Amino acid sequence: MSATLHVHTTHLQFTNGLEVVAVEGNTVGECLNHLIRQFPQMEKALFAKKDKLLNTIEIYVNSASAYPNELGKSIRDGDTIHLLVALAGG
Amino acid sequence: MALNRKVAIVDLTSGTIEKKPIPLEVRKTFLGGRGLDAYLLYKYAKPGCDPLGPDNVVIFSAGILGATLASASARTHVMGKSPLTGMVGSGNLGGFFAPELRWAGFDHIVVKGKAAKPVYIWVHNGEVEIRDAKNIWGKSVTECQWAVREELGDPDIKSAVCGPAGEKMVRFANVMTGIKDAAGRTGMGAVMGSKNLKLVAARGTMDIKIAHPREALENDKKFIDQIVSAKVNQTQGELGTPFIWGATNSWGGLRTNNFQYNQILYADDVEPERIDEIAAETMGKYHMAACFGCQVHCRAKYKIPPSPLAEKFGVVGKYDEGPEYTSQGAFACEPGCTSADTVLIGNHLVDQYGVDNLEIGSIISWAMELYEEGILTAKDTDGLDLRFGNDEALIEMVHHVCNRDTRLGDILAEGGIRAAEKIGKNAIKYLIHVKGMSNLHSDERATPGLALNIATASRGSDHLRSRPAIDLYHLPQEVMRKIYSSPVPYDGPLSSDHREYVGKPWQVFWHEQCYMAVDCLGICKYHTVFLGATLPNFEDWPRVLYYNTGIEMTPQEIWTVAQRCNNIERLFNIREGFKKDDPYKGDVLVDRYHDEPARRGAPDVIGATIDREKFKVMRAEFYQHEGWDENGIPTPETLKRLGLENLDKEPSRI
Ligand code: SF4
Repeated sequence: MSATLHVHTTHLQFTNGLEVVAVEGNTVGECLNHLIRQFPQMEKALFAKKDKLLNTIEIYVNSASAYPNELGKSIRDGDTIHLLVALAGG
Repeated sequence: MALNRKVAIVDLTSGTIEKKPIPLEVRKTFLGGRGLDAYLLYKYAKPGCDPLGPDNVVIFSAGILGATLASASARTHVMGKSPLTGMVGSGNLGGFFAPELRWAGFDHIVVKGKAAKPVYIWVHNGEVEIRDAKNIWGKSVTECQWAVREELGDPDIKSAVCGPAGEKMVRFANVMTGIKDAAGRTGMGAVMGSKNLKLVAARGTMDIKIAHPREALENDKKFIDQIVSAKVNQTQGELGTPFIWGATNSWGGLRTNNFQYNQILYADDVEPERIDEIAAETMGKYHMAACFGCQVHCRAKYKIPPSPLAEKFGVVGKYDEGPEYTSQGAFACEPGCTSADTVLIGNHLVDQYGVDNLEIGSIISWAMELYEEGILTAKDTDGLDLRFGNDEALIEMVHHVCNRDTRLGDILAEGGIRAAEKIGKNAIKYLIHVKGMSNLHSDERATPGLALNIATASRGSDHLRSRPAIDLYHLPQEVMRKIYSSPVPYDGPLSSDHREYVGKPWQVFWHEQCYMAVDCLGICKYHTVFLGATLPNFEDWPRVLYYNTGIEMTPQEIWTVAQRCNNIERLFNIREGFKKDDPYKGDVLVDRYHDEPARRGAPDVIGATIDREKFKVMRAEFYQHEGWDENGIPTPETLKRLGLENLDKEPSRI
């Protein structure tokens, strides 16, 4: 499945400035792995440890929160994934 | 009935107490909590009064949903004219006081005048008494709560108190309840101290009749699901508010060394995970606690571990709760310290003295910069080496400010603007404030929307009045449009990019109404869209309100109440000297926001400043959304629409 992934502004430093990245996978987790294969620095920006997203990372699929079990959420062709970061300003 | 609670007007000068009902019309106009407090402040405080004189008032209140089946209906609001800013003084605390006040029969206690000697107010089952406080005056925040329980023979009494800092009229002293619940920021504890009022104790067994109990319970179950299923609240339940601090520091959004940097390095020891570890080590695996009716439980319990610093100050093993992310700001990034011990000790001291952690951390950090700049010398500090990163000097200064027992401590206890006048030598240039209140420890240079929020908030630099915190999340456009186009239509620009200026005035305006509504209802902001886009907002509140109280209101009507109450706060500030561009009382940022680029952090932060001209355009647009003129004054049409055109002349509706 192919999806469009929107990168948070603060992660543009890890995606060569790309705001939107094409990713492939049957689940959010697979799509994120594909993202990391393209941009390895994104791994540290998203994951606390293997298979555990950082507490401050939220995933939206088609404008709805994918929490809980974000990584297992299935993806269909044409879906849109947004990576959110709970910075909140201190 | 949830609506039959009364207002008590307590005059400490004459000793008289009046009890007044709250007419339904007044309920529908102001709801309760902060909204009705704003009206009472406007009507009962003498215009132009000395905030520490008898003509000021201090008001304690519960929201209209207090102690009902609504989740986290725990919040207490405290209001008066601020001795720190000379403008709106307001603080909001969690814990268990507001529900007890309602069970004791009251929603608002308005205290005016000044007692000849220390007193406390005892509220119980419809009765209000003024009692001698000779046995509790001088005691710490927790000691005085236990003392009054013992004196009145009831261990379940809940009290809203001023600590030793309030007694000494430190201008940013808090009103406190429990271990750490604080109505902070604007010095309401100092107003209590100025009135010789040590505490308000409440205990009641009067039922609150829920209008539609079955529906209220059913609805609350859905509400709780919505609240606890948000990732942000699951995380808060694990790590508390410090979780925000860690990510924001990595990004470069924290005011450091006063405001010289925007990120603290080598800060692993104050990261949320480390603080959580200490809480687990000292209190066990299950160490998170909650306020009345809350399922999020965002506060950690901890004991101060042994360390040279804790030993020096005699606080090893002392129990406390938190620390909130504000204490990480006050005792880590702002003074340039990197030790969890310092954060936990500082947090404990402010809780016991009853003083605002943000203000005291900010003002000591400001003094540190003055010291490093040579504006303050060792003579001024009584030999204290007040350099950034000196943990011991920081903690020592906390004591001196709260006790006012050194010359510098006494000066800093007066708040930034007064202290800058006393110190002279252009010390004001280094003070990071809005309207005389220190900024949160966050750096808003990369976030124009958040900068507009702190510049225009009614009580001074403030993250809880109108902060569009979710602006930093990079929400999908569709989600933003859904949130910000309701309950009043909006089809103007909205940007998910936190660096943008467009669309931000509307977001700030929207959040201002949202947070006022929350404060009128008396629920916790973490149960709302404040930190999570999926959390309840205007569309969800009418049902909670109706099922619990029987009052039927649309989301738009709740919005209008919020706007009305925000406008009363604006009118109060205008009455007390607000001028749009006044550096001490205006809707402005200090020069450093505009002139000094951020030096650390992610690429989207480094180099950021707030553009002066674009800021003015944002502010002007914000005024337009508010229905204010180009000077930030509500227009006659706005006042008429909100029913405030006769606010000055009308007799008090209560
Ligand atoms: S989320 Fe935290 S502050 Fe809010 S009511 Fe719950 S425990 Fe209290």
